[in-house]
Amino acid sequence: MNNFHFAMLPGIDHEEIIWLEELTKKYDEDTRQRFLVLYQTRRKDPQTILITCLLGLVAVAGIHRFLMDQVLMGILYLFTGGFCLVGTIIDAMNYRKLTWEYNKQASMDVAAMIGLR
Amino acid sequence: MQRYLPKINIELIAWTTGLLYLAIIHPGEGFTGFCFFKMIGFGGCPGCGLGTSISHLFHGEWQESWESHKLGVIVLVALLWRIIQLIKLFHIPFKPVK
Repeated sequence: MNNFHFAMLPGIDHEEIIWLEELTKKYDEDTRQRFLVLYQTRRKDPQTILITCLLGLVAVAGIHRFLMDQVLMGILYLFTGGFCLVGTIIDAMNYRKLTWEYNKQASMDVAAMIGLR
Repeated sequence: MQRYLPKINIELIAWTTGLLYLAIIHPGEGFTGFCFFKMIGFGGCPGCGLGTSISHLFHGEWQESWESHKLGVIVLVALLWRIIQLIKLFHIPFKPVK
């Protein structure tokens, strides 16, 4: 198994590589290439999430929640200053898990999309 | 238990303990709120009064809740929904599609 392509994704960690290998183990090289291209466009870099989250300390809170398609939480963060900064700090500590929650769903969506073709 | 403890999402712990705390205490009796902006020395922030508002909701005082913060109800519903979502993620791990 060649995990070279997955290792190139920015900010990827061990758990994500193992998951992606498991998800794509039955794919041939061509399909895996197509999966990677589609996944790359959907995937969010954990660092982007952390930076937009930390924007909540100085400017606007909740952009990271919008980026992860959590519109309701995003609006609430926006209008309450990230729940009086409490939510912003929690998300800054938890940004990797938060991003992985989104990316995992995105990877499964892409896999389902490729499987249907 | 030991095996699962590190896997519990910190976000899940934070929201549940926060809501439980707000349900147990009674608003107005020594509760000052936990606004970090106030702690550092700023006057306040758009979210101030939110904790009091949710605490009033737990005690069934709708009028006071509305006066403390307009978004109290929506925030409570959103947080409960998020907690359920996080519990689902925790208990039903994703399975790769065949």
